[in-house]
Amino acid sequence: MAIGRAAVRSAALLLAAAATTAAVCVRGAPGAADLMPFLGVGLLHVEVGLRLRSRRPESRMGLLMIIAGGIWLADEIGRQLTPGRFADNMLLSVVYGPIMLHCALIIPVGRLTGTLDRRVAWAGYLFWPVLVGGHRLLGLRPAGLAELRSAYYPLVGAALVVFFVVRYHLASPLYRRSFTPFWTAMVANTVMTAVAGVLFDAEPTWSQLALCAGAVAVPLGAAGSLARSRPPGTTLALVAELGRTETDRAALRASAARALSDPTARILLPDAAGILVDAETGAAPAAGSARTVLYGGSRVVGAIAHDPAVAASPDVLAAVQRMVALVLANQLLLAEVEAQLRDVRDSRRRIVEAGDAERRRVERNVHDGVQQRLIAASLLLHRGQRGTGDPALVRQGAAELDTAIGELREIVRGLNPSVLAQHGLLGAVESIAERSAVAVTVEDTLEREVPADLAVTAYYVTLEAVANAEKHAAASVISVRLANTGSAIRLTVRDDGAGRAGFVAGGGLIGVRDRVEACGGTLDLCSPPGSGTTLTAVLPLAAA
Amino acid sequence: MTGVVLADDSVLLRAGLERLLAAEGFTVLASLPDTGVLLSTVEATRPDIVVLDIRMPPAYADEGLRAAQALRRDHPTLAILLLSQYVETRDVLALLRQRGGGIGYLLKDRITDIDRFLDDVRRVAAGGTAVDPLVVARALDRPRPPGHDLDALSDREREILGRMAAGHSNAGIAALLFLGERTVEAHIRSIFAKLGIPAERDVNRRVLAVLSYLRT
Repeated sequence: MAIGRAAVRSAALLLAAAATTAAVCVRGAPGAADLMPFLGVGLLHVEVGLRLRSRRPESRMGLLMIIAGGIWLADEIGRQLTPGRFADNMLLSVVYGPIMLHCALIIPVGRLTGTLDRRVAWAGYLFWPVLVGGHRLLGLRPAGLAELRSAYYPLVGAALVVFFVVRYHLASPLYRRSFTPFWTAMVANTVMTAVAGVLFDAEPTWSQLALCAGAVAVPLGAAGSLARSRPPGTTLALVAELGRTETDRAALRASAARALSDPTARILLPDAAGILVDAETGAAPAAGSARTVLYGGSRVVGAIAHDPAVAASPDVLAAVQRMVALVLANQLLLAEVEAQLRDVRDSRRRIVEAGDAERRRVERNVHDGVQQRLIAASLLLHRGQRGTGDPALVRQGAAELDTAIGELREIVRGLNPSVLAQHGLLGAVESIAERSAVAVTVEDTLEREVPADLAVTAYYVTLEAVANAEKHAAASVISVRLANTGSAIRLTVRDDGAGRAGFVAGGGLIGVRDRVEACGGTLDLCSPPGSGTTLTAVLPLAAA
Repeated sequence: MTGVVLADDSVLLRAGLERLLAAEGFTVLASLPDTGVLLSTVEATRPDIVVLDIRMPPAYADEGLRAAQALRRDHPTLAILLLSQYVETRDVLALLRQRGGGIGYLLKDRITDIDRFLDDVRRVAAGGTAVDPLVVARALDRPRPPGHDLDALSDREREILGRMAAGHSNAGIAALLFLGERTVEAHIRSIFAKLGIPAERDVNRRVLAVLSYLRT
């Protein structure tokens, strides 16, 4: 609508001037004086309409008021020039009335929403043309507007009253709040029109004044309704308030509710199944509430359930949507980071504990095994030396020493897999395969040498998987596969054993997983009962 | 007189070996703490056999192994006996594939079984092969699917296969098992036929063939 305010205002004044000129020409100056209140009402409609349009461009209320004012002024010109055709408030009934119905229907959103409202508005505009045209075409009686009006007004009036009372009754508090001024103005207008009717014969001047006084209420009521359909509070205050409520969901909800002027507003968050439920009660949102989805990036972080009437202020709703989404996305990120931190702390603690346990194991093995055997050997050899040189004592001592050497070798081997340094990952895995009590096949498609820390991790994953398959799963064959996948190496150890392996607290698999995660990798375990176990480690090369 | 060069970072072990070998009629030409001057020492002293540790300074990884390969390249007929803290089949196969003089690969603790150790040293010095019993046992005992060709071997044949893998000659096996050499030969023919291994007359080649077979 490129027509400026000044142009509309000039056009309205021009219409008023034309009506006055027509009145002076036809009836003289006193007739023109009678006209003034009517022109005032028309101009008031236009002026209020202009102001509403500039303040609330998204609402149709301003445009409708300007048109209504134009209709009112046109009616006056017509009445002065051809009183016969414009008798009985013809234009006001046929066009102005339906416009008022339209105005009532667009509160509070500012435009027609829903099929029913659209149909009712159209029915309003088409009612008189169809009724009068139909009667004329079919030759029915009565055919005059005045007669038809007296025949149908009670019915139409009653229907409209019922329609709006039911609507008001079903509506949300926010709707009622914005609807009340216009509703009151319409009631006042109707009452004053009735008063005018009663006074018409006895006091024509007072009757006209009463009619105009009733009509003045209409644009003022419309302005009141529009003002009330705008939630109070500025976006800035909302931003400040939401910025303060960092973690408390109840406070976040209260802020959003205040910003939207909708006490029924609730924050919805996805539950474990991804369904949006009330963040505080966990219940499904109330039926009939509208839902505005909140995005953090492309991810749905939640939603606001609110009164549908809140859509009257799309800018406020959008601001609240963005702010609440920001707060929720922030909370979500924070929670994720905290969970990760917790995992890392747990894993670090387990690594330390595993180190301690390993040291204790080595200490016990050395102390209980090797040390005891060395003492025994020493004792046997000393006795052999001291006494008669019994060759049996020397033999026994030597045997103890041999056993001690064998035990020591196994202990030391477990501490540092030197085979890795000498033969790389594949050699080390083959070495595990060779020592296994279960047949192990090794398949290697690695394209390049594996960095030392990843090789050690892959080695321990293989060692643990093979040991588990031997000890717990009663497997008959194990396959180990080493392959490159993109920028990572993938190690898969599969057996055909009993399955049921798991990440048990204090178990070897947890320790191995900690190792893998410390390299930035992932360890997946698939071990359904009776269907073997598959352990897959993916170790990123970039992190090494 | 058999000339020996020793290389081992452990002073005690080196001293023990020197004394043992000298007492058994070997001539210890040099005794080194690392592989640094090993090649030049061998060049200068021309030993019959070099006994060396696999893990030595500076990195304590596989210095001995790499020195052995260099020696094999420069002096193909020189006998080499490697001692190791651990034994890996892979190492033995790599050493055997490099054709040349006698080769041995033993766990360090085998030294304590003096008679057997001296026998191994002499065998290797004479151009034969000595593979550590642990490597042989692992290769023989590794799990195999049922119905494997190895199941067709009798216990005696299995025992003889083990001795072959360890590097013993037909005469050596006969002596160890108190059998006639002809009997041993007959057993070996039977074993090769059952396993489908081409019969190798050269003892070193035979060890490689048997170990390679057992590894797959």
